[in-house]
Amino acid sequence: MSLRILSSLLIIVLVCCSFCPYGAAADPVVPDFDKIVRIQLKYLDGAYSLESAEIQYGRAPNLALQSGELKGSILDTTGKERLSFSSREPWRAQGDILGDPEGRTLIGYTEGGDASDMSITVPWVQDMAAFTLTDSRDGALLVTADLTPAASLFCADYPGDPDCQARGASSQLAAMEPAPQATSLPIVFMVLFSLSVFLAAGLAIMTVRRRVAATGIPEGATAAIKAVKQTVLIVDDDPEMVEIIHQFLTDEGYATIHALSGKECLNILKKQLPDLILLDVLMQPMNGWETLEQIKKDPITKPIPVLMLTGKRLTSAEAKQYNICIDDYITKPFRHEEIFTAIDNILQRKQRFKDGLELAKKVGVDREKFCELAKLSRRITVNKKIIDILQAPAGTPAWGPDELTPENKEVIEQITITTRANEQRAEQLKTEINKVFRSKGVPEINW
Amino acid sequence: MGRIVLVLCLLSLAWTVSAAEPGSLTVVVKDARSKTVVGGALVYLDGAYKGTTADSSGVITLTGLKDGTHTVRVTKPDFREITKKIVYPNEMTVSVEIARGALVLLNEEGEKQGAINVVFYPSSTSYSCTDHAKISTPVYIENETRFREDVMKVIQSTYLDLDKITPSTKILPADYRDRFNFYYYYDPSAPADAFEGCAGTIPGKYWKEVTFVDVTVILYPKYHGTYSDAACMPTGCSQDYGPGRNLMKAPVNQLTLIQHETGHALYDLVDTYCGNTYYYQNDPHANVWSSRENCESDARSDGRDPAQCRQIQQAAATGSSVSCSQPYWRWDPMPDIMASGYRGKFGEAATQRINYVLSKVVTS
Repeated sequence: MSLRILSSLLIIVLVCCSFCPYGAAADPVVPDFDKIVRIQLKYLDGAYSLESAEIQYGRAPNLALQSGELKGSILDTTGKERLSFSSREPWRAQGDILGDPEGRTLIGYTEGGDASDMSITVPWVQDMAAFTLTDSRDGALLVTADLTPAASLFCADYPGDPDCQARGASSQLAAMEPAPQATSLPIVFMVLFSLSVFLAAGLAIMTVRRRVAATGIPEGATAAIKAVKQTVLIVDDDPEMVEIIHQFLTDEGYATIHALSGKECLNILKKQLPDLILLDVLMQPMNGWETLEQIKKDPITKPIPVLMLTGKRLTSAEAKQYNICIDDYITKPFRHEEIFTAIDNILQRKQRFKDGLELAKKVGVDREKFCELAKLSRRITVNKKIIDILQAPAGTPAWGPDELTPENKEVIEQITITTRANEQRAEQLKTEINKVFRSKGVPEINW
Repeated sequence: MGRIVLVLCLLSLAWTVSAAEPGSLTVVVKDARSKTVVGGALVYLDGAYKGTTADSSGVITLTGLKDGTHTVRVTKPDFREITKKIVYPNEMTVSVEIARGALVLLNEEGEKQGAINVVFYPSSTSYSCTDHAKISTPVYIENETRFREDVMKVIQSTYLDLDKITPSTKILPADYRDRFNFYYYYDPSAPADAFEGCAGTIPGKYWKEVTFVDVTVILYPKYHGTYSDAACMPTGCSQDYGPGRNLMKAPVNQLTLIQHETGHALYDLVDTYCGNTYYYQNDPHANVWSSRENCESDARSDGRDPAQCRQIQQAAATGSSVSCSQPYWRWDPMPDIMASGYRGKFGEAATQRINYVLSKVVTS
């Protein structure tokens, strides 16, 4: 090969490489993709509640240095613990006042407040789905957080982030054309190879997205949430009934706490907040409705869903008075499946609202608007159930046409009218909210 | 052969030209303060790294954008990272201003990965125990050099001279000084308030920006007056609000108290004086135990004399009676930093725990 040809080839290579980013001199700059999950909690009177869970770029602190009586865990989509750390109770301020250098040199100062904020910063964990905080001393579950909405939202903004691509939440990037950088011939094969990998990843992403669109929850996240036991407070003055319900709920993976009276129920709620209350109506001296009124009066216990349980028919007066306070109503005798279905529906509804609110907040939907939709949606579901019960109570013989009293008819009519109005308003709100969700690439509300 | 070369040249040119498609976005990065262009800034589009801005122009051109909303993220060491949402093609040029961060690294040899990150933060307040009142203290806010010098003094006495305040019988890791990254955060417009709450408070933007801190130390110059009654605010305090939000405060002129609070905040050591404070057995390698048996058992396994275990008590000012007694036991001899505010060392039990915490640090 002549020197002239060699020179020409060299020029070509140089020309190609001048346009080729891969062929350029090694870039000393290292891109930074470190991410953190920040979980904000509120501690109040012995109970922890979730304020928010967000993901942002940043480095995490050194979790190995942490110590204390609380244990934080990040669970993956199968419910397996992927990361854990210790932490101290946030309210425990440990102060010292300098005293007399020749006498008591330190004087203790404690500030054991009944309220405090807690902020937990942990690194991004691939496949993370949930966070739990437990008390290491007795294993009590203090608070849980579903991390999938935060991850979905972050990846909606940063679909090109390598971790988001691996997580399968990429959306916009899939729609983007490949970067039109000038490419030298030797890397054409690399590009083709990358494209095929990209295509395969895209197919996988589409599959996941289809599921997200259908359920709002990514595959596996439910398993992680289920791995965190939901607590049901059973309130019934019949110990045998409590035992029966306890048995089949624990068999199904729920944790239970028990109260044999309305008063005991209210006392328990001062110390512990369950995920759901199963409340018997016929109790003495404080009946279920009175207990319900107390639960809903207290702003701390008000959000806990209540499922009423009774052998007595729901009267139109009760339906009229309490329809906005209850989440479902089951009449005895009942089949186990009825209870499971009702509990599952309520807890899933609660979770859906929570996830949706988190997303709504992030994409800038007015909180009030979202909460109004959530409330309406709950009332519509409950009212429809109440209408069914008033027309033909479950577990009891159906009402005959002549048995439908004028009072019942009137209440059914009133509730039906309200429900129709609620449905119209809910539809309007849903359209407005979904418009924003769609523009941000977030799965739309389908409830 | 000449023809082949020509064809290859044309092909390569065609490849390059065909690549220059529409859908490009120009990003210009400038310094928020000087308004001059910033080269070498890392630019990410929708989370994917795209390259750095040119040194001469502060510009990078991104290509292949689809119509719609995109997120441009810009980072550069020593600058606060910034994220901007743009709608393409409505915006085909985006100007991003980045500002220098307020976090200053004090390690001469640079940051070490995996090290304990300690950040010092200046307070604009102090306190008078005599008047039971907060005092405005502008000294650190007006004089960064003074604050930096005070921080260096604290670092030396508390962290780098740890061998001088621990017993020679307990050997610290030879490289223990290299297991820390020290920083201070200086933003005169956002000082800490050392006397808002027990351990003080820091404006929210610090917590948003500094996500990786293990211990944040609020420093204030001086505590005024002497202890008169329990209504006085504490001179020093430690409070842990969760990983990444572990806070302590202390006056810079009381180095032993700073070491004491660091004992709480970083090493989870428990007070060994008797008084109104929290006692618990801080396993493993505790310096306070909930029973004599536990104290003696740990002493034996650690090669210390179990007979030195004693209950946490305080003798009355006169006579032999006891004015304070706690159902907890201690081992370290006096003067013990965890019991005394003005002088002393960490004892062998406390140092065993310090070594345990330091052993968890793996730097690279």
